[in-house]
Amino acid sequence: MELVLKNLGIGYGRTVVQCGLEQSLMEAGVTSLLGANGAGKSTLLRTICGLEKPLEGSVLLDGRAVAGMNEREISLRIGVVWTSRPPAAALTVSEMVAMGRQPHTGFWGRLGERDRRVCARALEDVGMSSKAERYFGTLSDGERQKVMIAKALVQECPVIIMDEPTAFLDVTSRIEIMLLMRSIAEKYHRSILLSTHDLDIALRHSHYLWLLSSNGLPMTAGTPEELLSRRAIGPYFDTPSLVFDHESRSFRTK
Amino acid sequence: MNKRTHICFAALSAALLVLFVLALLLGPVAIPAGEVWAALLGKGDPLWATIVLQSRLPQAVTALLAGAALAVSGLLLQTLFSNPLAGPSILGVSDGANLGVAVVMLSVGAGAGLGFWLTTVLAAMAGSAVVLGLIVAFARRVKSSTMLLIIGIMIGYIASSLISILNFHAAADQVHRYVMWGMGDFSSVTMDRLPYFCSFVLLALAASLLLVKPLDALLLGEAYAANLGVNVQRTRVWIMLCTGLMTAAVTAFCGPISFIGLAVPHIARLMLGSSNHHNLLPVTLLAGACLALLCSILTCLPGTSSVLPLNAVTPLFGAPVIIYVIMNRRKIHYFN
Repeated sequence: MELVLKNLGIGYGRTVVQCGLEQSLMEAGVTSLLGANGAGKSTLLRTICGLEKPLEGSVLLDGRAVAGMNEREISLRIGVVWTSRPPAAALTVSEMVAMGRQPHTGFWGRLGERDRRVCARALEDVGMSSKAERYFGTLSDGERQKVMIAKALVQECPVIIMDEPTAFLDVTSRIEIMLLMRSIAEKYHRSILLSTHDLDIALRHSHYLWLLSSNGLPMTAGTPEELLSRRAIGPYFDTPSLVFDHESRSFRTK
Repeated sequence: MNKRTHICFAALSAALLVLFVLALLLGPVAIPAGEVWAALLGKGDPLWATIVLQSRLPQAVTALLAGAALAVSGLLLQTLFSNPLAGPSILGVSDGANLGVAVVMLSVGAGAGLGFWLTTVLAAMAGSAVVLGLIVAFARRVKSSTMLLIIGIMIGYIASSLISILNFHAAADQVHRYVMWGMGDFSSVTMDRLPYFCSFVLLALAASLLLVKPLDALLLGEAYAANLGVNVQRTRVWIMLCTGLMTAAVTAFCGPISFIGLAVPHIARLMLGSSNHHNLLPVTLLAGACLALLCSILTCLPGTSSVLPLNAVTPLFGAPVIIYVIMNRRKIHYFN
């Protein structure tokens, strides 16, 4: 499925955060969305999955505007994983994953044979099969995020959107999640768009990068190598005291 | 369904049956069990038959339905606000209904007919709807659930002051009547009012049962629920309609009854060990019916001729449950 931003303007009410965004999401790959705080990463993700209306232009899925779809149509095309942990509830890991089947099940949400198979396989893919009967609340933050990824997987959406999925994780879990998303994208041909502050991990492990600026630069995109060789990353992050060094791929003081 | 769920359903159904029978057998007037049975079949002593059919039977049915309705309202509000300490009395919804009733009882004047009671139900519904609307409006700006509860309690206080002001200006007999109503009583639903009460409550209970799938999705929070194909706005309106109708009907007919809505969903979750509404909602319904019947039986203990107010009994069960849940929240899965 092709996801295209067409002359997209995003923001809340009268506050325009970004405008004129033109981009199409890489298929069967992991695209990292990078940018300083206030650049509109979350707003862009919320607009793509229909939680916010575009201020202008549109988000197109195979030519159809997301803003014109109902919740169910969106839920079958875009699966999400948010930063925050879901509110407390006495649900087991397998019940949590099965929530992702809601768009596919009938009025009462009863699971069929195929639903159970899909859930079991997703738990295996994220490496949580052994904890299927544990309560979700007893898991570590990294494990919870894996379960929510499994939830997004069983939705069987061609596009998966993740808002800072690794924000509260330790460094090894962050890399694990990125590698997991890479393998999911390649194995199941999912187009994954995730926002992150982890420039280093994003450069190393994503197929493609989208850069948003908080000081008026237009959005730019490309593979990590391409952006590094064009020296295009620095302008999106540099502060009065710090500059991005494209050779060492790290920040240094001026 | 696992074994634990089966046991919960079986135990609660049995308890409900036993309590219902006890509610018919026990009362201020001692009637032998055989005579109660005869009365139900339309035979036996006419005086006893009147007591059983006109007083005990409607009271038992009312208690059963009122308990179920309050408990389910509490569960719906707890899920809607992702807050295990929400409930119709804490969030001020009952006080809103209370205020609606007070306006009718204290200012419009006395009446005893069915029309008067239906007016109070409508007024109670308007009152609870206003409070629910306010709470939802505040919930958009106040993200902390504890702060939202405090706002609910404040709204409750405002409603109470308005009621006090109304009381101050009302005639003595109206005040007396209002105070008696405020003590809570399942016996005020007489046989001729029972069909109305039943239809309000059963309608809202049935509508609530239809919401189990979106309710489950709401357990993950609104942003996740919206991405699972749930129309969050519409679901919220349905939940508020159901809780508003149930709280209003019970409050108008039986008086403001505390703690059942707050405590019973916890009892149900602790029994089931699950927040999954497919089982939790029916178990909450059954447990609410059982607890209300038990409280109703305890208000008219045999051997005593007078009847205790219902609100003297319900906190004795409800408050310890809430304290237990708060003290053990680290060990209880739906808090973590």
